[in-house]
Amino acid sequence: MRAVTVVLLSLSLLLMACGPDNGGAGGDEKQQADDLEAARARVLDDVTPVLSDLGARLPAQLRFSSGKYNACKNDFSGATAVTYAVNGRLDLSGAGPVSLDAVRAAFTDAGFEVEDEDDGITVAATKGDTSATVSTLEGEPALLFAARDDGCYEVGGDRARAYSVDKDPITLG
Amino acid sequence: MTRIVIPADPPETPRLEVDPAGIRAFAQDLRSASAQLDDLGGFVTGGARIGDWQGDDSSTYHQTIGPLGSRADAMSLALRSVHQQVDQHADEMTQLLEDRTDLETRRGHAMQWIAGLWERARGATEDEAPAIQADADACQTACEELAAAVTAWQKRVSGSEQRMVAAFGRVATVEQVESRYGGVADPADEPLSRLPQDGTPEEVNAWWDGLSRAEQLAVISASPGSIGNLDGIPAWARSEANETSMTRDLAAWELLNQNGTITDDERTWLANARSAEDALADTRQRVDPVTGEPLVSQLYLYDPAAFDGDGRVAVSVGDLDHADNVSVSVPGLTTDMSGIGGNVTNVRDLYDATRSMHPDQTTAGLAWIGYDAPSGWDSGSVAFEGSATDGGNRLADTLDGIRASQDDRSHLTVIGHSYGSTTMGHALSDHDVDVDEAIAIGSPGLGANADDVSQIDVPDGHFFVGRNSDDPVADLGDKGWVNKGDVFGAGRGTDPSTDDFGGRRFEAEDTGRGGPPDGWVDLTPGVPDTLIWEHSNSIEMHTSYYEPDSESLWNLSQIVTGHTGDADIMNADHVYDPWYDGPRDPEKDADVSQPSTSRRVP
Amino acid sequence: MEIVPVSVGTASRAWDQQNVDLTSAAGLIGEAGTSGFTAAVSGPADRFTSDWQRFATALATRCETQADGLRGTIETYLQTEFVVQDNFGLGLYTREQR
Repeated sequence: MRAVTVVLLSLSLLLMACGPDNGGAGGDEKQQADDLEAARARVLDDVTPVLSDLGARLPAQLRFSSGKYNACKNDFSGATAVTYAVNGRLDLSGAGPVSLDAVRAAFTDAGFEVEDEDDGITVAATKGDTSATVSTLEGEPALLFAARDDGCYEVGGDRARAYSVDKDPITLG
Repeated sequence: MTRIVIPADPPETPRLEVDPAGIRAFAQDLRSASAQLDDLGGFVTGGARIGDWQGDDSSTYHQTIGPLGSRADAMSLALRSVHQQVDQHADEMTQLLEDRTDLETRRGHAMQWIAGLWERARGATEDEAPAIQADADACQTACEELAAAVTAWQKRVSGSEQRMVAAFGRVATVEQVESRYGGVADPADEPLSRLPQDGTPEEVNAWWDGLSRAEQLAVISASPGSIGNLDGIPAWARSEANETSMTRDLAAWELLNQNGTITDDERTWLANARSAEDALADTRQRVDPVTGEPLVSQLYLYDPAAFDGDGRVAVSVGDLDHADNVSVSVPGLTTDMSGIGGNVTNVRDLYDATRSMHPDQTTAGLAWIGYDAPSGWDSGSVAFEGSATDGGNRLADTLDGIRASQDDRSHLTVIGHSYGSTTMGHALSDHDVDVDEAIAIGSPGLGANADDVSQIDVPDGHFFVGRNSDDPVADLGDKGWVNKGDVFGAGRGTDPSTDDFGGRRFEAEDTGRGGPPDGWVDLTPGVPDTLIWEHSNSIEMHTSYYEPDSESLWNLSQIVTGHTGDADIMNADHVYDPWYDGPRDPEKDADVSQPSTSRRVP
Repeated sequence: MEIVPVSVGTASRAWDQQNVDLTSAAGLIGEAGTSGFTAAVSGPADRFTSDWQRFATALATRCETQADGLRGTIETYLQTEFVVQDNFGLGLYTREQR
């Protein structure tokens, strides 16, 4: 078994050194880029109404949001496939403890299915391929949110760096 | 009719169109040019002198170059003075921008206050009027204070601008430069003469702490190469020095590249320097997931010509000097300086996860390519421990340097991936190091001197192992008594995930586990492929330990932030080797989970 | 006639390198972006970088002049009757590499 492992490892290195780009042909690259862009749009479409709703209910203001492309497959040179994720922070105007009921309601109203598991600091929810969480911050009147697409999209090693940060993808009313 | 005097709207704080990061980049360019001029001054009094040349021509030559060197020294000092003012101007502008935000927030509150007063005044009775007027008076006082603060703020803006313009004006001509700085001793010379030669990190740190702020800045500008990679110097100063060197190198090699006179070596060094520049820039474009502030990134090591052009580099994500938790990530196979970007991406993912899971703690991670890791076509050298032994020496120095240069002790974790774990093993077994946690991921073994945890310098119960059961590299280490001996010598000692080794194994399975091996061609359609391969052994199973929302990254983040109790970690059973069969990995059949690395952990 | 040692040749190459370094320093100064400053400062900053690029370029030119001067010394020396054989490869240094 060990010998097979070493041979396979050597084969892997050889394939990486000599093989074609993981990204495939030009047409595939365009399709992959389109799929990734669609995933990005879907996540933002899903999560923006939740944040807007929270902004009005709590009330809260969007302090920042940051979009990025997280690796979901790697080789030695870096990511070969990525998924879109966005995270950020809502600052609450009022003082006092935050009720997560408002968060659950905002998710539900936006068509998300809220997870049953409740740890008292985070609400997790899903809508189609979008997974999202909203967590309280200890000692600060603020909520952290994160959302991502569950898909994993090939980008090829040479194109991964082209997916740079999308710093402020969300704006609220 | 009751008359209530309500204050007018307070003044708006004028917009401030300024980019402190752009100003800092400007300062960096001046500093690097200043260092280049300083080198010319040093050259004239050193390498330019031709001791074995006699005669009139020689005399004329040596008389001519003297003034040239003096001019270069004076220009270097002049440029350095402007750099320091520009740097200070950037600090002031940063503060002024923050203060403007505060003033505008105060103005917003005042406007709400005034709107409320108008609302109350509209339907007020005679009896209510005095209370409303008292509130309006208080509001008037607040508005006057705000107006005064806005005026003071404007004065600070113009004061900072005037100081900056004056600094430009003081050295606007060569005559001014000569008059002000000609013959002036370099303030860096005396401190540099006291730099301990071959000193320990503690001795170096004591020297550094004994310098005034002005002396420290002078040393960074005049001699960045002396301190950029010197253990014991704080990370902020190393980074400023190394960025000065990097900017200067890039300018020189880019010029040669354009001229077509660049050598092959210089072309390699240029590529290395560009990789470091990109890694810093990419990180600084991103923001902290809790505060939204741009990430701090420090160039902790920079030597693009080291190891025959493989280069030596370390880039941080976060502030190594002040973070509660610091981790050092040591990569393995196919790592050279050009690969720093991918390694920094891994560390960035670790940073994001630690901050999101434990927002009340600050963290910093260092992607460390400080040794001659097997790379490219010399990957065959992985079979030898020489590079890991040398790397272990260098890693131990780095860990000592981090400890010595911090004012407050951080929680320090070292993480070795792949053959980087062998290097880590040598640092921990050949040296006395002071780490709080050590983690091996995808490890082929910790080297010849580390057969079990008793032989490595890690506190009891704080050595951890992450091993994907499908990882072909992690499969190479020795397991138990039946399986002793490395095939082709590719393993590097005992597999640390085995029960005999004695580490704490955490779950690190990949959801892609069990797919076909790399390059698999199905020649037997209809026959279940899993009858032909036992594991996928795909290289992807070896390179996924830092992926967001993976078991591995979740556990790494828990350990790096010091959450190492039994209930804090997703514990995994060890690999074992029964006498009646080959080694077995219980994790092979375990369910694979996807814990969120972007949600807070209770 | 004084002997011109090979170290004169190596020094000429070193001056060439200084010329490259100073030219790149001049480029750094000239291309330093001033758009980060406020409007009140960016004008003087532009003027400063323009002037200082000129100062640094002048210094680079003086380095090149030193290199050329040393090369000229070597050429003159090699052309004299005194030198019958270039045993030390001094002639190699009469060609500018960069």
